[in-house]
Amino acid sequence: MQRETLYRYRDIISDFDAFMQAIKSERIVTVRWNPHKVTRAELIEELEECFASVEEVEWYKHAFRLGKVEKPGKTLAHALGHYYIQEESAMLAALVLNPEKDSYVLDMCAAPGGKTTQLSALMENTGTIVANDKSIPRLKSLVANVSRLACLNVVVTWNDASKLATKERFDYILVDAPCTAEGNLQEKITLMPRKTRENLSRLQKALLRKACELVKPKGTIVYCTCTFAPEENERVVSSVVQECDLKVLPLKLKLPHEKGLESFGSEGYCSEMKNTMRVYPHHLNSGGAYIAKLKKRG
Amino acid sequence: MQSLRKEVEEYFASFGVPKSAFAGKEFVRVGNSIWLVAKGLKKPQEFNVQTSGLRIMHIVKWGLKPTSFALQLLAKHINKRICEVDEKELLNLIEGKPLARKMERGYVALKFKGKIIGCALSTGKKIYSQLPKLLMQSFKELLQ
Repeated sequence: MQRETLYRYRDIISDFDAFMQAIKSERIVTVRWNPHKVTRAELIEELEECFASVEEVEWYKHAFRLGKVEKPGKTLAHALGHYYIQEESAMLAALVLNPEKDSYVLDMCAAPGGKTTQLSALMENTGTIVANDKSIPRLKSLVANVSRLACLNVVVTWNDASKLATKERFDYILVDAPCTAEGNLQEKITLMPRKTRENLSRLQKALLRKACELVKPKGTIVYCTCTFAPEENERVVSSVVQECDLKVLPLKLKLPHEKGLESFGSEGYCSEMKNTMRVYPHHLNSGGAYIAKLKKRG
Repeated sequence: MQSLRKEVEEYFASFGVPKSAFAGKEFVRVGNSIWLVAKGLKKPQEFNVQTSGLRIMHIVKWGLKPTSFALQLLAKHINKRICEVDEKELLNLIEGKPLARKMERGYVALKFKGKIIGCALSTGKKIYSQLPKLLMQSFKELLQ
């Protein structure tokens, strides 16, 4: 059977030509400052020594664009954990969750640790972040990054998050769900088989339901993926929001994006989906992302 | 618990690190390692915990050994027991060759290009790398 392509999304992306052009072009490398190890000024100095172009990201003072760089990790500053290489689109979820200092946070699918280490920075190395993953090889990269960036508030755990049986209740939960990662496609436009998408959709629902169980009343959940498929985004959130006592909060980030979908093909989603966010590669010259911010009613 | 804090603070004082560098943080001993964690860090129940915070010391038979990550974290405070190396010397250390250097015996902080990069051992006349494998690999890639 012939595999679907990105043209599947022609009707839901308002500037599809720009979208396709961004998919086919080389992306700009961005890095995120690690405040646990150096000051912002020190990092700027280090980056300017190593790279021809260092541009501050206007919507996030922790992030810098380096242009089209081949090996952004081949510097002493990177080895010493002074920065983390992360696409702009991948920096959004932690910012949307925005945990307070000293809070109790669960990152359900944390490896390799980009969002975990960003949460640690946002919380100024206070409180507790339980950074969980079920894959041992990925756990190694998580531990390595947490150590390199000196995150003192991170507890790395190894569990299947969808089956967690615990009495712990968290102030904030990040569900960075495993997905078909269509947002990372470059040049290739062929999508994963439909069956993979459907299987992932079931797992994503299980993860979000579990997050709903483990968050405290009035606690916050951020659900995100790096894919465009509505079956892995709006379908998951819409379904769990209706099952559980969750409210979909509007997002306040001021950057180019499109609203979440209220329907796709013959499938309808709840109207609150317009409060969720779709970021396409042409918006930030970065990967794709879907983000929903949910609050458990008290 | 208080004696563990005192012991660790005194050890790092030999590198010039003030006690204030550890304010708002706690030390936890797990087996033969000491971990630096955020104050009040919770241990989640019913989770398979792999690590908590940052491993800053190993307890070895002759005393305490700082980790390279600890020395990097405390870099801005370190002003004693520093062994400065150039590219050739660092590459030799990574390749397992000792560096001829007269220094006080014990663990020292390796400094490269003005930055504290990790731990080494001084025997009095020679310096041996104590950098972890992953870090050595990163430095090796940088130097080649």
